[in-house]
Amino acid sequence: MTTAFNTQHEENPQLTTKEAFEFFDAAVRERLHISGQEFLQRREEFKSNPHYETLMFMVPLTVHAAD
Amino acid sequence: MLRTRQQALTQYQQQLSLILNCVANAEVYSYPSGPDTYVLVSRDRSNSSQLKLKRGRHTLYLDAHQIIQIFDADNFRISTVKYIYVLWDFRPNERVIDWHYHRRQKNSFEAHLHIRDDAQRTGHPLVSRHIPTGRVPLEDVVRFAIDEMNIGSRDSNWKNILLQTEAIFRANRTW
Repeated sequence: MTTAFNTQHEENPQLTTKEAFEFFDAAVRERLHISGQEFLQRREEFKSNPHYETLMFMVPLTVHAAD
Repeated sequence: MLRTRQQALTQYQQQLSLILNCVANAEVYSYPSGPDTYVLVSRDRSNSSQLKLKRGRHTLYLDAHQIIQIFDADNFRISTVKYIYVLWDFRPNERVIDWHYHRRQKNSFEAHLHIRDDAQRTGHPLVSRHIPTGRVPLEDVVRFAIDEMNIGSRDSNWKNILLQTEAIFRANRTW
């Protein structure tokens, strides 16, 4: 899956709320093969996965997604 | 003299990008996670959520993310609130070492590193323990990758780049 952010190729861009969630979702899909939403709901099940801490660090990318 | 928060953020993002591009084809994004806090996340331009580092014919991986706070009233000073830097082996899903800085949790040290053995090959007593460190500049992670892990640099000027960005970091640090 190709995920592009800020397609105007701005250098050092700031993600929009939608793009931030897509960034998180893409990272989760790549590493755990589940959606970002699913990870948020089932995160406790992945505590022993080596990617858990990195993905948890990215959770703030989702903070405004439900606004 | 910085005039806006956006200028400060852009300049900081550019510095992170410079540092990471010494070893990877990196892009750095920011996202406002609070009124004055931002998540800075990196990814590889090859569309991977992990930065790809070359060591001979192998590819190792790096996660490098930060949360920062910008103090508008202090000339838009930037302070690191949290960081996570994870160096991954070329074997899938195996970490080598990771550096963390975050608020104290239980009895762990705020700044610490973990030596990893995800495949459980060594049984070393320090594996996954919280080993205390000072706060580690990202420049040192990149130096470690090149000097100690034999990662290939992508820029022959990498030593000077890291010295320059680190000078800015050290001039602004408050700890």
